[in-house]
Amino acid sequence: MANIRRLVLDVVIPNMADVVKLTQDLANLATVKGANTMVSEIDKNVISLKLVLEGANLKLKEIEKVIHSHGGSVHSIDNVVAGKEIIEVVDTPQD
Amino acid sequence: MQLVRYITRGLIDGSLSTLGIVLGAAISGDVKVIIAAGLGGGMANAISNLLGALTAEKASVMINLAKYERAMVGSNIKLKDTKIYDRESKMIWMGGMADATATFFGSIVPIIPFGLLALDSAIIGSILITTALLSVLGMYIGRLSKENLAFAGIKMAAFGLVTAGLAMSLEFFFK
Repeated sequence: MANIRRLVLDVVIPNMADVVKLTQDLANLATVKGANTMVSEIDKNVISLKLVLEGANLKLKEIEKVIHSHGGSVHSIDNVVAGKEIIEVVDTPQD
Repeated sequence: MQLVRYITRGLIDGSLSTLGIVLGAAISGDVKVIIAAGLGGGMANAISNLLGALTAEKASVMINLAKYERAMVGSNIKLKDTKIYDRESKMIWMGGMADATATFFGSIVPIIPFGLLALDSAIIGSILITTALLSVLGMYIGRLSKENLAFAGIKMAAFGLVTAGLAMSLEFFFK
């Protein structure tokens, strides 16, 4: 099975959660090289985040565990990059 | 900032309620009874404030967490198993301990003169020292809320004097 090198997740967390700590905890995972959290929407009680994680061999289960420990939940997996190297999305004339 | 709120609240609560206790107990004319009543009242008040934080504030946090759980549509997450709950629990404990400790130390203030002065002077000393503490706390709160410092201090000192007046009026009913 090819290693997962990048994950883009749509995450929902209660707005009383600590987004900075969540990002640090994700970045502290041995399999994660770096984490980027962008707030995409703030509601009355919840915050929607776009979470970008990169690493040599990302483990979705352990990432979800950290997100759950902060009260968050993965709404959708928006982008997965797997293989020997990271392949970026390329624009085609149809785009 | 949260802890300062608990400490200020505890100091006001402890000093004001114990002022009432010692002035009420002063009817006995026995310094030992006054000090024991003040310390006992102070300890009970401190424990009561700790219990208040651990029960009422915990209930409030749980209600809040349930609201967030309902807002997390599509997820069956239980926030009690998360770091949010751990952080809130820690805050409740720290707040409760700060409140209880400040309440106890606040309650010692009106008792101090009874360990140093004769009864009549100690009664006046107790009112003065408590009123002074309350006015300092009032000014501190006034500074935080950007009120007039003198007005905030006098307002809080007035609460001390009213409490003292009410407690001393008991003498007319029981003597």
